[in-house]
Order: sequence, then structure tokens, then C-alpha cells
Amino acid sequence: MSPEVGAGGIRLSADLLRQVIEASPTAMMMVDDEGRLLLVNAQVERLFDFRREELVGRPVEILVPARYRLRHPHFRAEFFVEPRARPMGAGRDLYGLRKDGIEVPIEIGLNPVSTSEGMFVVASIVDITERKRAAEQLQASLREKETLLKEVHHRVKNNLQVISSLLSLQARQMTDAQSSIMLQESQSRVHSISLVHEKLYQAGDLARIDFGEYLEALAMHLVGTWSAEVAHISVRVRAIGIQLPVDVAIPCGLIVNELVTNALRHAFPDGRKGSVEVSVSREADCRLLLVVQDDGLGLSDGFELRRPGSLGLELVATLARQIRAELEIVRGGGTAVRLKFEVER
Amino acid sequence: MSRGAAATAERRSRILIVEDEGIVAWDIEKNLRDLGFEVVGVAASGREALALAKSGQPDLILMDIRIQGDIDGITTAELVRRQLGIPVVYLTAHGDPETLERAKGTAPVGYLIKPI
Repeated sequence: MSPEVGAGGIRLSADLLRQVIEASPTAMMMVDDEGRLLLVNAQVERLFDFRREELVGRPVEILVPARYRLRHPHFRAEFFVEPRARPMGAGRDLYGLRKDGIEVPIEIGLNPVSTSEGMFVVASIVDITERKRAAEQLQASLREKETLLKEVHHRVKNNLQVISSLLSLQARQMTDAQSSIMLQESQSRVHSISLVHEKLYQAGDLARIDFGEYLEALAMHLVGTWSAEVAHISVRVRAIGIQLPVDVAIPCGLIVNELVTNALRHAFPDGRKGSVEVSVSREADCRLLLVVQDDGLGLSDGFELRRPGSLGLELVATLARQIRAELEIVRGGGTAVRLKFEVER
Repeated sequence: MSRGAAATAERRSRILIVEDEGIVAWDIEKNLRDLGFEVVGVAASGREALALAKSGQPDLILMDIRIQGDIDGITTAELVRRQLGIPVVYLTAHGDPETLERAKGTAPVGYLIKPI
């Protein structure tokens, strides 16, 4: 080897290079263009359990597991065609072969070193056994957490079904129609919450739901619940690409449940035909605009959301405040209830 | 279907409910009876369901997936299909794609997500 070699623009003596490699806290080795090991440090001896005299002068493939050994000279030749500092086998799992035949997961950095005698490569090798083990433990822990969350959603849905059934059974005991309807409305509220858990469970993302899909399912359920009264009313949903976190989806679902139920039951008396539309869109200021509108009778003069005796509409006002929504009621050609609110993307 | 519609048929359709939540099963049973169906029984486990299906010969089975005992609703449905050929409608709080895929393999006639 010549007295001076260059690596990355820095020139240093062969002895100094030898000292740098030897003093390195990571395993380092120098290999020539024919794959012969020229230099190895003490960390290489420790990592691969070879003594250095067993390695120096031998092909580097002695440290490569048998299943990769045949292809290795090809990769080595490719490196020497376009030598540049880079990690080896990017994106692939790399393994080194110890003297006792045990494979060790490793990461390898390659650095070309040019000398008057030709090109060499200095490889630094890091044992990633512990890192891999930690990553596997983390993955297992994440899978366990996901399973646990799914189990929680399942139990929540099961419990909501029990509550729904209790309300249904209680409604049967009622002798007056009004009480029975109030229990049916409560059942519907339970369902609107349960649907959020259903969508969370299906989504894969256990924290956010596609609110458009949710609204479609909710609308279908409400039409089914009040089917005897709403055959003449159509319900449409427009909400594309709207993702909501669970803490916003539940109050929004309950708000839509109340407003659509109210429209279906009161805006179209005596078989009057019409439609109800639920839409969610993102405004220019990035806030969400949720609108429930109908072309029915319209609200009476002096109507107030918080009027006593109207639990459903009081709920809307309370939930709107919970999600810090601006609430506006537009009259004329029916009723439109508009809510504007912020949601973190 | 309007209330009592099933009762107007020549013979009332007979349904077996497989559901291990007593209150939910009771509610379903009452709803089905109101709609004019005959409920041949309520089973809480897969083995119980198989026995009731054999003895009661229902026209349809409403099957929860997570039930008591050593076999779940999907395995029970598969055994029902092979041994008795009775159609099954799943009734479950499970809505995830893996469960749906597994349930599809038993060729059910429907799939209802709780709460119903």
C-alpha cells in the first residue's frame, strides 16, 4: 500500500488509517477489489468470533451466510464500478456469519478508499441484534394494543346493544304512544354512538372514522326506524373525504341524529313529500361546515333551540357548544341548521 | 316487513336465535314474535344451537358470532350448513373485514351488525 491514501478528499497515511480502523468502536475492515480481507479490527474479531489471522488474506465471503455467498462477488464488483460511500443492501435485512455458524443481523456502511495501488473499500459493521429485538418487541406490543382496542370496541358495541334492547323492551311496556316514541328516540341515540364504534373497528385506524360512510349508515338506520312515517321523504348525504376523530364524531353523530329525526318526524306532516339533506364540507378557512336541511314546513316563529320540553334540540345546542361550533338556523323554504367548527386534520 | 306479515303466510316461518346476551335475545325474540314469526328456541352456545336446530328444524337461524362454549358462531354456522342445510343470518357486533371474510366462507344469507 502507498504511504498515502485518500478517502472523501482527506489524505492520510496507511499507518494512520490502520490506527483509525483499529481504534474504531465499531467493527471495521478493509477489502480489496478481489474481495480479500486486508485489515480487520478487534471489534470484527469480537463480532464474528474469528481471530484476525484467520481472516486477513481470506475472501470476505467467509463472513457471508451461505445463501448470500454466491451473489456477493457480483455486488462487490458492482460497488467497484461506481464506488461511493453508501449503506450496503439498502432496504434489505443483512446478516453476517460467525465462526460458530450463527448468523448476526448487521448494518454495513461502505466507503471507497483510493490509493496509488488501486481502490479499496472500508466497511463499518454494526451488530443490530438488540435493535431488531427491540423493534420486534415494539411490533408485538403494538399488535397486542390493537387487539386490546378491538376487544374494547367489541365490548362497547355489545354493551350498547344491551342498552338498546333494554330501551326496546321498556318501550313495549308503555301504554301511551308518546312515551314509547321517546324511548325509541333514545334507542336511536344509542345507535348513533354505537355506529361510531362500528366504523372505528372497521377502519383499521382506531382513532378516526370516515364521516361520510358513517352518515350514510346513520341515515339508513333513521329511515328504517321511522319507516312507517317517512315513506314519502328522501334522505341524501353529501360528505366526501371527511375524516373525524372519535371525540368529534360522537357529538356530530348525535347532532345529525337529532336534526334528521326532527325533520323526518315533524317537517313533513300529513304525507307531505320532500327531502332531507345532510352535508359536510371543508370551508376556505379550513373549518368544517355541517348542514342538515329540509324542504318541509319550516320552524314556527319564535322557535328556540333551548325551549323547554324539546330534549332533542336542547341536545343539539349542548353538543354544538361541546365541539365549539357556531350554530345558525336558516329559515325559508324549509329549515337549514348549519354548524361551523374546527377539527384538527 | 309489516307487523304480522309473517303470520299471514300458510305456515309461520320458524326461527332459531343464537345469542348469549339474555336481554338482547329476549328483545329479538319479542320483535320476531311481533312480526309474526315463530321462535323455536334461544341458544347461548354453538353445541346448544346445533341440538336445537336438529330438534326444532327452523327455517332460518339468527346467529351471533361470539357465543358461549368451545365453538364460535361461524364454526356453528358451518356445521349447520353441512349437517342440516338451514340458512343462517349472522347477527354480531363484529364488523371487521377479517371476521366478515371468514363468515362469508360459510355462505350466510345475511349479516346484521349490532346494535340492530
